[in-house]
Amino acid sequence: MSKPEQTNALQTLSRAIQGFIFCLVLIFFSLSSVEIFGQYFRLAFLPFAGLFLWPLQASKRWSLVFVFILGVLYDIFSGGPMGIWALSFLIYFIAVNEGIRGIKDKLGWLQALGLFFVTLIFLGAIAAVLNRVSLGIWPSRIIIVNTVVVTLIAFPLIYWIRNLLSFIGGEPQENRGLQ
Amino acid sequence: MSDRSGNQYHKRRNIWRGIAAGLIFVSFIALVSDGQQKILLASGRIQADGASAKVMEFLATPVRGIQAMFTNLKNRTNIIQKNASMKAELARIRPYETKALDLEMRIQSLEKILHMETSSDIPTEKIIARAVSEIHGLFAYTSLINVGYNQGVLSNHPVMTVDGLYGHVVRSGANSARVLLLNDMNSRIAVMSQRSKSRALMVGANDKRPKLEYISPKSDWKIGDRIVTSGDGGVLPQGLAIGTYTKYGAKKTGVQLYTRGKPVDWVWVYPYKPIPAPIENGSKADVSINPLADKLTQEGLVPDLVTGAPNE
Repeated sequence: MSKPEQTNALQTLSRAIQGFIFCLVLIFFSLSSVEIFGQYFRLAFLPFAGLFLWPLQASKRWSLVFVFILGVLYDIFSGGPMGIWALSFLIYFIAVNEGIRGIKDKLGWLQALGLFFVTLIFLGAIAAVLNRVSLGIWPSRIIIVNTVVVTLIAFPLIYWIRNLLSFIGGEPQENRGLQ
Repeated sequence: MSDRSGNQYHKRRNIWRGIAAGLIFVSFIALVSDGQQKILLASGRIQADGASAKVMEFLATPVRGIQAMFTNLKNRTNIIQKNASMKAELARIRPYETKALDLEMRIQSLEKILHMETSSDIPTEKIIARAVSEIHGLFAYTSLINVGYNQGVLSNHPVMTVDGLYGHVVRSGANSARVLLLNDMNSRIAVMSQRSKSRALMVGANDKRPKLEYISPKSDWKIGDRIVTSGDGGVLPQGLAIGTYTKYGAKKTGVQLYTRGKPVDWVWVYPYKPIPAPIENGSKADVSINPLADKLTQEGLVPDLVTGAPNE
C-alpha cells in the first residue's frame, strides 16, 4: 500500500470511529425512558439517527464492523435478547447507506428529516418482524409510533450537534452534516 | 490500468458483501438462540451492566429532574381538589382505626393461645438502591439498579418502590443488578387476590398491563381486587402489593400496576431467602421453618418424618 493510500485508509477509519463514538453516546441516552404525566417517551430509536448521519467518507468495511459492535452493545445494555439490535442496526445501516447514498449528501436538514422519517417507518417494520421472530409476539403499534415520534422530535437537535461537532473538528462547510 | 482498478473495486465490493453477510448471519444466529435472554454472553452482560450503571447514574440525573418537575407541576395543579378528597377519605376511615386496633388485639390473643407462627415472609432488612436506567422498549422492560452482590443483592430478590412491587433481580453484578419489570414478557409472578385468596400467574406481555393466567374456573376474581404476591413456589415472599385487577377495552382484563405512571427513582431490594426444600439424604428432614411442628415433634406427638417411627 502506497503512502497516500495509507493516509486515506487512516482518514476513512477515523471517520468510522467518529460515527461509532457518536452512536455510542446516543445509545446511552436511549437507555432511559422519560415518563411525563404517566406517558412514556421512548428513546429506543435514537441511535438510528446516528446511523443515518454516519459519515459518508468513513471506511465501508470498518463501518460495518463498528455498526455490528454498536448493535451488540445496545443488546447488552438494554437487557433484551442478544442479536436483535445488532441485526436491526446492520439491516438499517446497509439499507440507508447503500440505498440512498447518492442523494444523502445533497440534503438540507428539513429534507434529511423527511428522509429520516421514511427510514424510521422501514425500521419500525424491521423491529416488528424481529420482535415476532425472537419473542413470538407482534409489538404494540402504539409503542412503535411513540418511539418513532420521539426520535423525529429529537432529530433536529441531533443533526445540529452532528454539524457542530463537524465544525469543531474543522470540517469545511460543504463537508458537514451528512458528510 | 482501468481494468486493474475495476478489478480492485469489485474485489473490495465482494469483501464488503462477505463481511455484511457474515455479520448478519452471526446476528441472526444469536437472535434465534437467545430467545430467553439468558444464554449468550451471560458474564459479559454482568460486566456491561456494571459499566453502563456508572454512566447511566450520571446521565439519569437530568432526566429524573425533568420527570420530577412535571410530576410536581401535576401535583400542584390538583392540590386543592386532592386536599379535599383526602380530608373526606380521612373522615371515612377514622372509625375503622378503632375497629382495626380492636381486631389486632383479639387476633394477637388468639395467636398466643394457639402458639401460631406469626412472622411475615417479608424481610425486615431493605437494601436501598437507585434505578439508574429504565427501559420500556420494544423488546424488553428492564431496569438497572446501582447495587449488586457486594451489597447483598442476588438473583430473584424482589425490588420494591413505595407504591408496590417493581420487579425482580435477574442478574447481579458486583455493584449493579438488572431488574426484570413486571410488564416484561418473560416475567412470571405467582399472585393472589387479597380479598378471596384466589391464585393466578401474572404474566407480562410487553405492554403496560400484565395479564392473569392459569385462573381456575372455580376461583373468585372480581374487578377491583387488590393483587399481592402469593408466595407460591417460594421465589418471592407473600403479601407484596402489585396492583389492581382491572377491565379495559371491551372484554380485556389485566393488572393495573401500582408503580405505573409514577417516576421511579429510589427503590429497595428485599434480601429474601426462599424457604429451603427438605433435605432428603437420610438425615432428619428440615422442619425448622415451622416451630409448632418442631415442638410437636419434640413432644413425640408426630412421627419422625424420615423413619416414620414415633419420636421419643
